[in-house]
Amino acid sequence: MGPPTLSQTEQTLLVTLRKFPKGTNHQALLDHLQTWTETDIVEGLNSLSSKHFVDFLESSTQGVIFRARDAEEATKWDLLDRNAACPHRALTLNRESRRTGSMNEQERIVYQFIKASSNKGTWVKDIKVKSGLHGQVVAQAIKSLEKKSLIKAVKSVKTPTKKVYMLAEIEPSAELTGGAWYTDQELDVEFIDQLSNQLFKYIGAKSIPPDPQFIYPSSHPFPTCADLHRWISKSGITTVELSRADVQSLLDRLVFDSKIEQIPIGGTTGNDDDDEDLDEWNMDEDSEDVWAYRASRRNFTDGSAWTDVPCGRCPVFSFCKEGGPVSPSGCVYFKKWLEY
Amino acid sequence: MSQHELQLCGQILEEHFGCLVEKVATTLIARGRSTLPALVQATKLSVKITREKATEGTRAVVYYQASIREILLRERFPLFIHTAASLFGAPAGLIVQKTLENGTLSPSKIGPTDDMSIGQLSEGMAQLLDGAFLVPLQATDHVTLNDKLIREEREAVANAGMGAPLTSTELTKLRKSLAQQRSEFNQSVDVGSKRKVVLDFEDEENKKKQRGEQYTIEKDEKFYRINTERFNLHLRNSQIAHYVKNYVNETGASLIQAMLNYGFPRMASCKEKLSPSVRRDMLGTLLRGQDFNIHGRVSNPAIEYMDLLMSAHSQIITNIDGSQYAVNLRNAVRALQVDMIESIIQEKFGLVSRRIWRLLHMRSKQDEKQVGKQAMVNNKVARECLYAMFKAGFVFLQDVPKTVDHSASRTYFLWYTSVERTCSILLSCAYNTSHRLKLRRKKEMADRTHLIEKTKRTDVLSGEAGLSEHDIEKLEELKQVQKQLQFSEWRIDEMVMLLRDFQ
Ligand code: SF4
Repeated sequence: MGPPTLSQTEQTLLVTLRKFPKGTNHQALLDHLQTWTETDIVEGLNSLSSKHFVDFLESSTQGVIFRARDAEEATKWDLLDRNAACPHRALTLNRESRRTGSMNEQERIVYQFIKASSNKGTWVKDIKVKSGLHGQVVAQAIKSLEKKSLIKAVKSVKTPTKKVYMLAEIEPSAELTGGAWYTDQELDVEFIDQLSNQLFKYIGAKSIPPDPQFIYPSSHPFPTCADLHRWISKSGITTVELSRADVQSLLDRLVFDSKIEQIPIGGTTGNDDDDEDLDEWNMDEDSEDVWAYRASRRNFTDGSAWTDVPCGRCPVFSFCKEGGPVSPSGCVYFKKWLEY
Repeated sequence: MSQHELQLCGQILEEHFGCLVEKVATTLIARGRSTLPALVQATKLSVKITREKATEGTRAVVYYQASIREILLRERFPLFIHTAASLFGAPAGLIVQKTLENGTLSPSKIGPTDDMSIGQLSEGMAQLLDGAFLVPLQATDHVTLNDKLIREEREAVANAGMGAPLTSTELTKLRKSLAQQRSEFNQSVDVGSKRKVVLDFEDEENKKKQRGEQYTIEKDEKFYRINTERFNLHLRNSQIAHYVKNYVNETGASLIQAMLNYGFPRMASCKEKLSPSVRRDMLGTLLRGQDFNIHGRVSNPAIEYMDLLMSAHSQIITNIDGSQYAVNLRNAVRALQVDMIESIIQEKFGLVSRRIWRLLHMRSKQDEKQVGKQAMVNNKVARECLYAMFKAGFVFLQDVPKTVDHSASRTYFLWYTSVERTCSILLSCAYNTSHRLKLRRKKEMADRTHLIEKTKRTDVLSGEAGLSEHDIEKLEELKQVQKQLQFSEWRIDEMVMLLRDFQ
């Protein structure tokens, strides 16, 4: 299958157009093809467009602009057209082209916008606004494109209720999938828990001497985020690639769990006011670490005075009143607790 | 004052003095200062009974005005007695007990008991006096705080107005400055004995011995009262050491305890911010002869512990000019409170909630999405945790409207924590729980009245009629239940102590 044949004028116009990889408006074309009239150019563009050699785009600065497609893509479009016209030839076409059905003008426009959004995807609403097409038309076009498996709908972790569309063969960006911590747009808490546990054990081994009644002196090299990032990448405990910021979030989570403590490197600053600045510093990928980490020895397994008595965990604490329907003398929680 | 406090006061009084005193006192608390006729009318008791009852709890009810604080403090008497006994031995415990029972005590009135000689009691007394756990009674001690304040204000008004009446703004100003003066005074004044410079330990020992021999309770006719603040100080110090034991190790705990013991004679109030400081070169000698348990070689092992504690988030050690170290008491008490809050959250709401609480505690105000992201949990989970904690008073919401109309849809809602607010909420929960534990204990007793009466029958007491096996079993059960409830009450009181008296 060769490319569709072009007339002499069409070819000349196409060659001129290809000089502008980013597209151009018709004034520039007039300047280039000085023998052509405005009607010639319009007619030429229209016929090229019908043969899928040119895209019409809207630019905020230049008005409508025209851009040449590369030959391969033009062929693909052409095949799709012919395929629709003569279904029996479908067998001989490549996989991409085997998708049935043709694209009409609206579908093509919608496809353009979706393609332009690459791995970030685009919303229906954006397509509507940018293309100026009616909402229903866009919806229809999307539906039929989806049917042809040319595009796919992806949910973003940030806005789980809104669908964004991108070309079927494109991998969604980390921004949409949520990055390392997400599996199928769901936060993978189990994975995070496992990884934090590993990290905690490693920090424990590096920051508490073999005899836990001993302490390391402050000159001991307590692990920093960079150290731990290196260790995770090397250890092979996960196949997911983690950035240093990812490791930092895990560390923060462990600090919030009071499993580890954050300590300033190079002695004690002892100045509370500095803390926040340091935090921001630390988020920068290339910066030097200012914090090291040591495992905390406190574990919260011993309960508390209040929650050890029934009232401390009582769901009806605020209603309970002597003489009322729930009362200390008639309390079932107490009965169970005192066990008799 | 909350309803729970009032209820609890009533119960404590009932336990200690019986129901008539309880009635008079709770009426007094509810009504404030009252005259006798007003009281009689309110309680509907006879004049005689009312007068008798109102003066019965010598320390608790003074001049027909009830002091809630003193009543609530009665709950801690067993702990005080136990503390004295474990510090200085049984005789000291007995002395404290007698002092608490009577309100005041003159040592000459304590006779020797079967197992305690005058000598032992004298020694116990001397130690209590030395530690300022008992202090001589002064005439002004009988004046209640309120009386003092009223008199002070009257004097100040007389001075300021030069005879002319004050306007209400002037009066408010005056009151404010008085309050300021008082708090400054409380912080600056030293109570208790001062430690002398010890030059020769042996000499001092000898002197002490001599004094011990000279001092005997028989000759001491003075009256003494309990200095509750010293007890609180002692209990607080050991809790701080215990905290360090949990967070570091035994050695760290002993070191902190030694620092606090060293400064103890100079501590007067739980409001002090720093403990008396210890010189850098002195630190090591505090744990003389003990191993510091440090992995590897270091030149000054005690300093390693100071560094460790200073680098921790709780900041319970403060360095002064590089050469002195002091325990930062305010931070330490705060750390104890935070620790308690965390334990409660963990038990009540689970690990994720504790993580979220700590996150907010360390990073201040955050919105829901930020919370979910940093705690690395689903936003839904984060929201559930936040609302559960919000309902129980552990986290709070701050709204930041984007527009002047304060519409909810254009408002940021930020979550934050406040240790103070949570502590005061928990305090009232603790009172409430204490109240319920007491009610339950009473009920357990009431359920077994006939059994208890039986044990008191003369024939049972004299051994003529025995108790059935079933009775004995039931009695044992009652004992267990009582013990469990009583023990919980004491633990709850420790919670109250941390929330109310240590700061
Ligand atoms: S007495 Fe029973 S019902 Fe009342 S608060 Fe306590 S546990 Fe709950």
